[in-house]
Amino acid sequence: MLTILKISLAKLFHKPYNSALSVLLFAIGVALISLIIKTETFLNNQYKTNMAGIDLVVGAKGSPLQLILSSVLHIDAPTGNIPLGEVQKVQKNPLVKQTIPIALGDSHKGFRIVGTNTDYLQLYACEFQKGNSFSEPLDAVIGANVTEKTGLKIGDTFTGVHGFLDEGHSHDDFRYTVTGVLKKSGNVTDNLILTPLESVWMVHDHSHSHNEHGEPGEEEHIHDENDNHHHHEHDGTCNHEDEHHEHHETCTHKEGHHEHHEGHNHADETLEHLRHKLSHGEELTEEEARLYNELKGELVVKNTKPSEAITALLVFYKNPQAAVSLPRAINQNTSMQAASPAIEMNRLISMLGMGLNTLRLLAWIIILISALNIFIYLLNIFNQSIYEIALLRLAGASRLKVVSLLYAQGIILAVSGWFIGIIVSYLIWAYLPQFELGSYFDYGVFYKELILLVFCTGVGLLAAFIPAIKAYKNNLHFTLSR
Amino acid sequence: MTSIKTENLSFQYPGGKALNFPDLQIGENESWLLTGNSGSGKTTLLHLIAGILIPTNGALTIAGKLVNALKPTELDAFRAQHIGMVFQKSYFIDALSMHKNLLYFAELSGNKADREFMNKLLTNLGIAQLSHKKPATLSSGELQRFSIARAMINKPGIILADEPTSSLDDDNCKRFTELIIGICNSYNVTLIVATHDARLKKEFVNTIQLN
Repeated sequence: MLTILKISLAKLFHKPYNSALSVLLFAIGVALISLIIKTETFLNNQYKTNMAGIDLVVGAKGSPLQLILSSVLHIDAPTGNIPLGEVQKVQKNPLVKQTIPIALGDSHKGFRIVGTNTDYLQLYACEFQKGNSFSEPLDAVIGANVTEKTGLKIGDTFTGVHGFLDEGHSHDDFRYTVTGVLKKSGNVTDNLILTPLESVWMVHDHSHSHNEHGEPGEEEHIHDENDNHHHHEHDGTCNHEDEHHEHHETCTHKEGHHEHHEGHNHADETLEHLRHKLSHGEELTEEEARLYNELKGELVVKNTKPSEAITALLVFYKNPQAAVSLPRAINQNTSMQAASPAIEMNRLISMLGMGLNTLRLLAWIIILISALNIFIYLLNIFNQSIYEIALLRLAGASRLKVVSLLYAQGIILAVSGWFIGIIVSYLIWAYLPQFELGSYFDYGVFYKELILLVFCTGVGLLAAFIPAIKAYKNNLHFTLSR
Repeated sequence: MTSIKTENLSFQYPGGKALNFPDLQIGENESWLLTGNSGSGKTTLLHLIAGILIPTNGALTIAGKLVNALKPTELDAFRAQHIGMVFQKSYFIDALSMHKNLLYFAELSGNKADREFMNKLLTNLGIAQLSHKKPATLSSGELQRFSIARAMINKPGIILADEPTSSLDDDNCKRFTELIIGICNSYNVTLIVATHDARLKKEFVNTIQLN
């Protein structure tokens, strides 16, 4: 059999361009399929690892998927902020077992600064490679990738910038101090800077006070809904009747801080009154309808002090019954939205799945074409080497040996294509910025790739089948007499 | 001792006329010329002796063994052990050097290649210095000499040559004929050359004439 293998290899190397084309086509198909397998597995793993049993995420109204992506996976802009007052209602709900607050808005060299509490570290079972957890405002615990990419280490200080890009305005007055560095865990915490909620509030309260005093930094307070920044809508906007804020009409009192709060309370009552009327089927007057539209979904957010707002609340149910009633109650009765990570991630994976299925189809078509190419190649080899095959038979080589010569060539081409395709897919995977080859070798993926190898071998055998049958049936006398 | 013996040997192609062959008794280390017109059955008789075709009737005995009683797989092994063949065209595997062509040919037949024997054979044939070359780079005369080497590589008792000189010029024809007869004599091999090439008649004492 070794002789057959040697002859097969020699014959394939004798026509390098034809062989390379066959292998290349096969490799492209295999690389595509391998990348799809990796992507699917990565998404599933990320889903399992990062969801960490979170049942519900409560945040500002907007896209539920965006809320999950921003608050759990930390890969999208937040939908806005929610007031602590509303949040506390959720926390006190008897169906809720545990909640973890999240405050976003700033970053350092592209890594998000997440205001939260130590429960967040426990949620992801974080282990420290150095240092300890945060305890004071402006303490920071950094993920493994953060220390790797930024060079930050225990005791170092740094500042945050607005938004999630480096171009944002820098909070130079506040320097975070690194108190702990996390071990690599393969989840979102690798890329996060975790700090107490109070740090985020402190930084942004200060910015507001700057603004109120007309100091530099005023521009950072003009945020719209699409701004990545922590949405600390400020009561100060209502305190100055001649300023640039557009929601004055929601503030019924313009005399100062104290009256302002009373005004918001009044607005709350008005909204509640209007909701009550609607719930009892009563019609609103034109003025009431206008007022209702203005207040609905806006009031609660805009009358909140920055220090009272968070971006999202991660919720854990006390029992399964909560899944039925709690999201609906939040979505219908509050200005917040509740999004289920499971539902939203399934939706995302389903959407991605359509794209992946298209790619998968394309990959199989490429493999089919490459199989046809191998078939034609081997058929040509057979036709060109029909006398060689006859001579091998004459030498005493059995029909099986002659057939295995062609099968060996088909298998060599297919397996080489698989091997190169797999190598290419791993190289591409390693070069994608969000993935790392070393940290991402999954036995499940490799098992699927081995199944792909078996399939590729089958394709190689199938492509060689007809040439091999022709070789098997080759009439020695007829060939040698020609 | 008799090397090849045939009795009432005949072969019929499907839908064709039956070819009846004269009874033969060919001894060891003899050289025979097989002649006849086109279609007289020269190649058919060689292929019957080589075990490529199975006779329709009659008996074929080689080295004391009744060849037409062997199963196909036994025939493959028998051919590898006892028969070497040379053809009008010299087909070799393009991808391999001549040395590897011979080596793998021996290995495929299930025999362990005798490298010393092969080197001596190539030297005797005057082509040892060409053994590293690939078939495409050699002349037809050189290739025919390698064909003799390939036919001899498994140390067979019989060499069958089918129109081996048809594509050779006079000089090469003469050199080839002298070489193949000389080699067969040296290694005690029975030689049968089927041809209608009149140039060979004077080189052989024993002739089989087919009509």
